[in-house]
Amino acid sequence: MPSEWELIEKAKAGDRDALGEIVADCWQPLYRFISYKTGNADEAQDIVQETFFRAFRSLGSYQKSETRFLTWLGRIATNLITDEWRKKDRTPIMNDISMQQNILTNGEDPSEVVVNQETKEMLATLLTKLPDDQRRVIELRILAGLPVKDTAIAINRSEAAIKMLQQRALKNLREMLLDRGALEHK
Amino acid sequence: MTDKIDNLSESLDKMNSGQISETADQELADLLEVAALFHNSGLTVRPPEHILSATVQRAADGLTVQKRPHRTSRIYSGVLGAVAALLIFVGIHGFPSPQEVAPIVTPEPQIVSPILAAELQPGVLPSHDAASSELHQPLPESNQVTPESSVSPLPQTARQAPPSPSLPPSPSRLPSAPTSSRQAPSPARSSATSMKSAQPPSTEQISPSRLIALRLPGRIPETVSQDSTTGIVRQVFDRGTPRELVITQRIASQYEKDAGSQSKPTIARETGNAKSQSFQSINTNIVTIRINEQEVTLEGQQTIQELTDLAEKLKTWNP
Repeated sequence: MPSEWELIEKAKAGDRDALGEIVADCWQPLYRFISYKTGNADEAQDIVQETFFRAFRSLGSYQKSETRFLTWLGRIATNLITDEWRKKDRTPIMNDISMQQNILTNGEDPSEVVVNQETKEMLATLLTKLPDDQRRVIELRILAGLPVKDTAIAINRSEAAIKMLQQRALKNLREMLLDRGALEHK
Repeated sequence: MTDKIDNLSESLDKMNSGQISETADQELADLLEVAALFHNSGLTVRPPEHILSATVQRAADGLTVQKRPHRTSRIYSGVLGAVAALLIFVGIHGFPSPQEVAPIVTPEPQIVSPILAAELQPGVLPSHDAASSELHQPLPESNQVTPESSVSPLPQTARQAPPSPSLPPSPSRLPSAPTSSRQAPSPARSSATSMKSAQPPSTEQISPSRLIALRLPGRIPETVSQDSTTGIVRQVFDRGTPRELVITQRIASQYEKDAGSQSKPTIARETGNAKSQSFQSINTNIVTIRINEQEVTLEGQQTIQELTDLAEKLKTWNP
């Protein structure tokens, strides 16, 4: 599997697949980071696209370093969001800081990594046990953080169907988590 | 039930935008707890295809913009090259040869091929009466150019009318020509040697009788016009369509022939020696051939091959 830097080098040379890989890898955390910052899903998608545009426009200035490409994207996105705030004379939304934690650095604390890795694996396993349409809705609505509208487009269902599916999926997951003892009855 | 579904969806939206939703509904709170667990799990997911493709496209745009300066310079070079080629073409074909320079300008009436005139009778081309009447009306015996408002894709210099009949038409009126060359010095008229000098000829010797409109078998031009000054004959076929074709005839440059006789003797004698030029930037192809001391230019959006074939057809018709 090519490294991030190799993908960037290929993308620089015009390799569209490599470009797609980079975008696919970075999109989710970047989108969620921007969603958290802006509090607006539509605006977040625009800023994600603009972030990628600006990043690849100035790709020449990106140097191979310890810093991940995603972190660089995060900086560009932050600047864009600040510009948007200034443009609209808006103040930043007050979000729960703890929920923003590690969105872009994603578990750099080694002690957290172990715990998260186990939880991650369990949750990933539970997801696979869901019916396909429910799993897809959880992936897009909750993991990716997309709004109902985009989720509906992505899986070709109505918005009402998405809302129904997400409720069923969460109920199913809760049952499975209770069965495994990962959650307690209240 | 619907309210619960909507409330859950709204709460998920809030969670996605980093806000905490308070709820008194225990069932909703339980579901949100599960959602938060997954939301903060660090599990990754690929974006849906429609979002991915749009984002990749935008990223690719960024790469394109990054590379654009190099491409732009190449495009500019190409455009400059095309413009230079066009100017050279206009310079070669727009300047009359020294042989065409007459000591005294006596413009003669236009002469149009009798065959063509016969073809362009009002009965034959009822929809183009104006064009045919243009041919049959007596032409003014002055240096005025036949009205050619409908003829567009030709070099401007070839169509320029002299400012007044007293001033002989001079190719030196090209924008790039030096001002001094606009004046027609009388010594230049008396000496053929001086005509070969760097100064462009000041007057033209026109032989309209030698310029008979060539006929393209099976096709009737929409307009045929002849410049009374230079004797240049111009035929336009299928005007305004992608098949528009402009055929321009002029006396082959004597200057060119002289030069050819010194370096390449065969060129001047050879008839039907086709040259072709392609100006992709203006989407027009040009083929120039020599037929009986006439330089015939075919211009149109047709391919070089098509224009060459048409040129061959012209050659087969012997006036």
